[in-house]
Amino acid sequence: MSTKPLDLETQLIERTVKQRNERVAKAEERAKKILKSAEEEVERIKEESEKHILSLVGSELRAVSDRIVGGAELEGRKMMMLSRQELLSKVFDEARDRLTEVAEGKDEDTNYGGILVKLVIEATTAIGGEEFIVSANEKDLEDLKKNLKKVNKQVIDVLGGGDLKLDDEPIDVMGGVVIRNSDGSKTFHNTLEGRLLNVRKRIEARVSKTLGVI
Amino acid sequence: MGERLQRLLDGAEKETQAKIVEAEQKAAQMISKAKTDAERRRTMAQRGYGIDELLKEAEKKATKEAEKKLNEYKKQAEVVKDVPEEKIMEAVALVLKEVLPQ
Repeated sequence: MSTKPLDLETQLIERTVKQRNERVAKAEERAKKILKSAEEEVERIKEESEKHILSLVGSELRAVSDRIVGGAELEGRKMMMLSRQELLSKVFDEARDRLTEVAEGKDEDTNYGGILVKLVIEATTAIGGEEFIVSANEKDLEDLKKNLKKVNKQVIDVLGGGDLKLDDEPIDVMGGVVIRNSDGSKTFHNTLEGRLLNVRKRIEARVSKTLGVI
Repeated sequence: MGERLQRLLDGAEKETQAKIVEAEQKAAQMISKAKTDAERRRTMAQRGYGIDELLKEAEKKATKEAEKKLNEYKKQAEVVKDVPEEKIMEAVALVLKEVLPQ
């Protein structure tokens, strides 16, 4: 059995067409690679350029960030500060109410009479001298009047001398005393509200720590 | 017959060469354009122009970060508001101890 010339011709044509298609496909593949590689190079150039631009305008971008983030930081801190202040006010308001109860003698666990004497002694010690004029609210003035001798004795015991006189005119305070010397050159405010105010300034941080909000 | 087939192959050769040359030219153009664009943007950025997009992006990013920060502070502020009553009473006792002479 021999191959017919027509078959050979067909085979040759088929082989040649196949060869041609392979060459075209190869070329297309290479062209694709060239373009892909170019695309990658374009990306690289863009990235490099962006980096360079970022380094050039970095300070402006940072300024934008600082303005916006910094503003939020400030607002947040303000919010926290207000919350803390609100809580501290709650504590000090409660303390003020309790002190009012103490001064009005409504707190059975606290000897306000003893406290009043200590406030007087503290004030007279701070002023020094011999004669003192004591101002207080109506209730405290009455208590002091009743116990003046006893209180005077305690002042003498501490200062080694001294004479207490009560101001007849009551003052509008929650409790405690305002004491001045006889010539009025020295005055010591030892009222409960005054002490509360001083304590607030002095121990706010400690109170915050106790509350666990520092 | 042989000649016709050879012409077919020669034609393919020309076609493939053309495809590759075309791709190379296109690639060169792409790269050249990218380089020109990059240079133009760099020059503009140096003069402070054409950075609106970057600024917008930075603003967007910063706004997100700012929101996150504010939310964190809000949570902390809520914790402060929710301090238990016994802690408050403990603090009140501390204040009274300081105010009243011992």
